[in-house]
Amino acid sequence: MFKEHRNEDFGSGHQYYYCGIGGDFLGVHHNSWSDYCSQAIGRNSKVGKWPPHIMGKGKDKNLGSPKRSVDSPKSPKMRGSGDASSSSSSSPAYRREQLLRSSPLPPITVTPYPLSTSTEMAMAMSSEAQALQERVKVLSDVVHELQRSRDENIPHMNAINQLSDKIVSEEKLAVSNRNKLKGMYEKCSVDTEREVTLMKKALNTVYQIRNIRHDLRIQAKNSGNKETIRRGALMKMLLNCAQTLPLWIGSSGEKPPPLCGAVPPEQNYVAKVNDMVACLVRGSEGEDNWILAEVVNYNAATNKYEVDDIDEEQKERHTLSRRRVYPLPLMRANPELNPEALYSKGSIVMALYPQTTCFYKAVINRLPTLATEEYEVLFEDPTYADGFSPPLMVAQRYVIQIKEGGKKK
Amino acid sequence: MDLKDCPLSLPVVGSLDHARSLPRYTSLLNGEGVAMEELDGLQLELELLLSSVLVRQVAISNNLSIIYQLEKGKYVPKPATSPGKKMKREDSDRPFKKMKDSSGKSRDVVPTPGPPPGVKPSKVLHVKCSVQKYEPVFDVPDLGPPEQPKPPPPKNDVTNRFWAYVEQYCQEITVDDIKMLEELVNVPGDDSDYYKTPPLGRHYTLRWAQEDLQDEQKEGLKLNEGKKKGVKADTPDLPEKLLKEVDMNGCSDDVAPLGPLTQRLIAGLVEENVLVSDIENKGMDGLGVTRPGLIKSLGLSSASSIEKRIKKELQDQGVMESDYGNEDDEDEILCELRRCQSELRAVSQHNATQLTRLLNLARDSLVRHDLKKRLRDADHKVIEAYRTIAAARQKKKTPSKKDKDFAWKAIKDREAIVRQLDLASNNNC
Repeated sequence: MFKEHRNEDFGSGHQYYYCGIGGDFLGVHHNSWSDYCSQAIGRNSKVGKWPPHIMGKGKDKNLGSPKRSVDSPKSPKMRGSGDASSSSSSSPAYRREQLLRSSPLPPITVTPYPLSTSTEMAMAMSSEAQALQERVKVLSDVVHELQRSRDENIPHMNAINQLSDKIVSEEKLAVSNRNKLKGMYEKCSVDTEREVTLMKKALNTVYQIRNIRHDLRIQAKNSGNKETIRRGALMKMLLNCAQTLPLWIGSSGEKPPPLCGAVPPEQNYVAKVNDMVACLVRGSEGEDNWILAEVVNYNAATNKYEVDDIDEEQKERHTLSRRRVYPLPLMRANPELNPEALYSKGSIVMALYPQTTCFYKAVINRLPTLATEEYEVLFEDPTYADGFSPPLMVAQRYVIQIKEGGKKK
Repeated sequence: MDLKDCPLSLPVVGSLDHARSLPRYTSLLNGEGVAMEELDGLQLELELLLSSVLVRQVAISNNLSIIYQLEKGKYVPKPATSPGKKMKREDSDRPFKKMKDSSGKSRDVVPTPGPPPGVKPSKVLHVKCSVQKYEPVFDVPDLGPPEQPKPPPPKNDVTNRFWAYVEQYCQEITVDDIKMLEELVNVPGDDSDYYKTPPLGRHYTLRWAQEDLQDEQKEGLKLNEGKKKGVKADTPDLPEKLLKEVDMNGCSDDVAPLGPLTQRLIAGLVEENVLVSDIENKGMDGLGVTRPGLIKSLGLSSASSIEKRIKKELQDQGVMESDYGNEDDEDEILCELRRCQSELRAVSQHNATQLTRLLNLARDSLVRHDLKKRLRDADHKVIEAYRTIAAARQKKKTPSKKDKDFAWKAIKDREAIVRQLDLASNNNC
């Protein structure tokens, strides 16, 4: 299941991945991050995905039983009771619509972007570092202003709630109350608009800072800092990219654009250089695999992409026709506002198997309910009794439409 | 307006508790600044915050637009699902006045007070239906192919199904099975019907002609009924008359119903006449055709009886041997029928032998099952005896005589059963 199984040379140079399963490997690289461990459990199960001829070569006794029972990688984060939709008009009595979850939001965990100290230092010494600090100042100011505005709005919203409760207890909507409510809603609408504007501003600043940092990283990398990225770091990088993929925020009624969540790209879309794509690559054993890669170049004359395998150890550059390349989403869809831009439960998709750089066929088992959550998918895996892996979490970015033409064997 | 008819959702508005849910945002507010490493987290927190505010914004603008509609005196139906952005579209489709409290109960049916002129109740319903129907259509293009619901992954119960399937072939034979086999064996071979060769019926060309005629009659009857009723009285007799004619024609015109012997006989008798008539009327052919009255004049009821009589006469006279004239051999259909009959005979015989064989086997194995059951009981007894003796040994006591006797008895019983079982299986093999 690791991309090595595209390699015939299996014995040498890759010990790193399967020595000390579950223990050393995790301990070394992911000590501080609890979520990681749960995802890494999935890695053991993946052993079952290895082709039979590999399973038989004696290495597998290190790997443990492929059918080791696996708990659900992430505990399901509070769902249900406080949800906005559940309270609407199911019981005969009038129920007010609940917009906020009653329970606190699940804690947000982000995989830190892995950076070596040398890169970090190179970045700190760059002339851009000053610009970064200024942005952070701007960000801080915006956030303070935002919070002031939020604080100011709270009393007014409480007034709305009080009036609404009064209407509910009277069981009818009198004209006077209706007019009062109208005025309050109008004011609240204006207030909310201001909050939205400030939040967008803050977010934009964050995106700017991120972009600067990204440029700096590339600079540092190009300026002779040619350390190879270890696999653990690569995985972290991929997770970080997926988690911090910008969230699409549209004005009300606007449709999510192509490449937001599950919305497919336009017919003639061409992925840009440095974009990540899924591409169908023929391995040395003649088998097709959907791998994660980065676009290097697109030749419009031949309709062909040049892509680099994201896994640096593969050191492979492929030239592939457009059909074999599928761009990853450029934005996350917001489950709260644009559920239509998510794959529905039971959809068959291609998803990146956790801790690998390959996409495999999977079924959506649970949708994210918050922008920060991920899909829960079941991978097709004949080594399990029911033909599917235990539920695994995959970020929106790494779930793509299944391509019928490019079925893997 | 009664609240239960009110389309407003009166949302509970509020602000996300940042101190509880958004730690990085909170720490930035408290002047602790933000480290570069925390920027990613801050981004996600801001995004969540924005999302929650946008949800509020959508809800409020929906409620606000409903209020505007209500103010204009328009009737706004209560949304069936959570309010969404389709609200506006629905509003514009429903140009009804606001209802009074009294008619609140029948909200969905007809808005009685003052619907705009020209809008009839039936149309009201129609508009509503069409809106609901169109809704998925609006959404489909947005969703694209991957959004279509797919069946949930099927559970892999092939193994269970396999074992369930195999089980009935492996289970022990019961008395019921034997009963069923006996019934099958003793079923009276009611195949005699299939071994009979039915007599020849009328030739199919005749039957078809008759059926065609009847059909045409019916058709004509219908037409006639449609046109005039005066003819009605005559019609019932008409088909019968025609049928009779056909029958007569069949006898006189067609040579087929005459058996081969009859034909030969007539040919022998009337050959010269035929020749004569041949000369006289060129082009005429066939026997009996030239003399339509011949058969009738012989005063015989049917062709087959003539054939039989001629055959019998010829045999009695010694002109023809008794087994001669089995011209049936040339009848393809009869040959096929005979072939099928012999096949059926063979198959049913085979079935019968197989059934009896199975029955015998089943009876044997029933006996063996019995023995095996006893063997199991005996095994239990032996093990029990062993346990008591072993327990005694553990306590460093010699086992009592009673225990010993019991053990010996159990072992001997078991051996006897094993021998019987061996015997039974040897007999079978």
